[in-house]
Amino acid sequence: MRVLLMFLGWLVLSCSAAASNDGWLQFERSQQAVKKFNFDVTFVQMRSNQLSTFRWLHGVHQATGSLPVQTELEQLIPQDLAGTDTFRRNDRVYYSSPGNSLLVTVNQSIKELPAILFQSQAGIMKLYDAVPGSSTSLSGRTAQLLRLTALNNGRFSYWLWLDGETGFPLRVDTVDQNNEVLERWMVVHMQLKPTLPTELMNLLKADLPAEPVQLPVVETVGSADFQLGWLPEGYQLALQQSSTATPNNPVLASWLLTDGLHQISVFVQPSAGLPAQAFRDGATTLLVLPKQNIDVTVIGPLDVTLANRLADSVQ
Amino acid sequence: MSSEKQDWLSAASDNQGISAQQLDSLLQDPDLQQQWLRYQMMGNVIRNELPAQVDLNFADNFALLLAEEETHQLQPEPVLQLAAVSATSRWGKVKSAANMPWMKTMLQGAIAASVAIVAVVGVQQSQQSADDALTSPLPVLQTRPIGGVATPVSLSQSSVDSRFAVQQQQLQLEQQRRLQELMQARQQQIRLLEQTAQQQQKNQQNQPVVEQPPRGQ
Repeated sequence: MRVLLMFLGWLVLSCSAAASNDGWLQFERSQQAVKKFNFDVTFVQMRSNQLSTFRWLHGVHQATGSLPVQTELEQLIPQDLAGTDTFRRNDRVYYSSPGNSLLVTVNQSIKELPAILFQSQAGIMKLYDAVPGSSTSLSGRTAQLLRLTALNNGRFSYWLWLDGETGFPLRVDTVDQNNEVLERWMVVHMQLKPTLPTELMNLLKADLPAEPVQLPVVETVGSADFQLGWLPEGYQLALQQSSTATPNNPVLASWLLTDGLHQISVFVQPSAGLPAQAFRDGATTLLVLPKQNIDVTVIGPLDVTLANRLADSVQ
Repeated sequence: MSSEKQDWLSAASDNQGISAQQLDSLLQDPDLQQQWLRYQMMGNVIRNELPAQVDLNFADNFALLLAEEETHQLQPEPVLQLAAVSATSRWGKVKSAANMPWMKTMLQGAIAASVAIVAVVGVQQSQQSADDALTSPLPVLQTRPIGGVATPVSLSQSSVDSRFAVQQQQLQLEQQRRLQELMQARQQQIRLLEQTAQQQQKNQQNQPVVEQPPRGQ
């Protein structure tokens, strides 16, 4: 009897001690699941007032020849309107949309999927703390809640619900500092398969251009007329362009900042004569700040106050 | 002294009032009690209330009877018996263990923990109920622009106010379009980010190689 009680006591103690470590283990498991499994999944994405549905296919093909070559295949198909069909073969991501030529890029993951599931765990551990929560029932499966709480107050947090059986992510909520849900990504149908989904077999054999799109020569020298005076905590400058243009409007300068997981864009355009405005698209804040004869636009997953500070730092 | 005593005692036995002090002395003094008994008897004789046979030792007999009566004790019998029987079984050990201080503290801990769980679950549920907060206080960007501008259906279309409103509306729409374009530009930037980083790395690696031969020569 004593022995049993001692064992129970040990179990309770060890469980509480392992809890902190357990969160990152669960996270690792879910990241592995989206990379290694063969699956056919449908998910919905909820952003403010709109909802979009996607079918997401993924598989790993093992060549049977003399060389054990593994090919990772992935496809993202919009379900509710004719959008961009996205597919990936190893590190090449192809964007195919009606009326446009095929865009070939080099990417380890499809950027339209939640980045938190694909970025390196070491990088995420620098920005977030993993806290396992209670388990609930989602889509008829047992799901374990895992909270990734931002270490820095200006960053949004993630709440992940992971399938208890496989570790596959079933739901990802992006929440602000007050735990209000800004954006939700949720699996509504999931089918794990023992082999590559048949739909991906065509993609395996398809003759696709391997050469990625030629990038314009990036000017790294700060010869631009405008400068960014401040960066949010943890962010670094990834890209700087002095003058480009969108189809209808000129862009005088632009910057792309990244913390390894999120991206913030800053654009400088000639003034449109409108007062300062802030919009929200899911977890993405859009802020337009007029300054003398220019408009500074900040787009990214950050607080309005931080966005304002960033826009204000443009000189 | 004694006559004084007898006076109030006699009066009391005739249903006269009696002071608290007198009552105390009556309760404490056996002689007075004997006297009280005799006064009562005399009163009964005078009032013709005596039964045919007077048992003077009634009180003593009654006391004797009481003493002989079997003593009934309120025993927590069932509990004692269970404890005695189950002491040999495993559950008995658990039950007896439950009374031990360490077990008590553990149980208290368990109760506290379950209260905490209820609290946590409660908090989570209240947090989940905030799901409708998907509608944010910030105005929402129309990422799928609605075709055309609603035109006011009224004769006062040419009034300064409405003209200004239309102008404002068009400006807003223009702003939305501009933001759309920027969102697309941003999406393109993000799609090409990894490639750009690789290219930059390559450039950095290539540059020294190009520059080094002249130095070597």
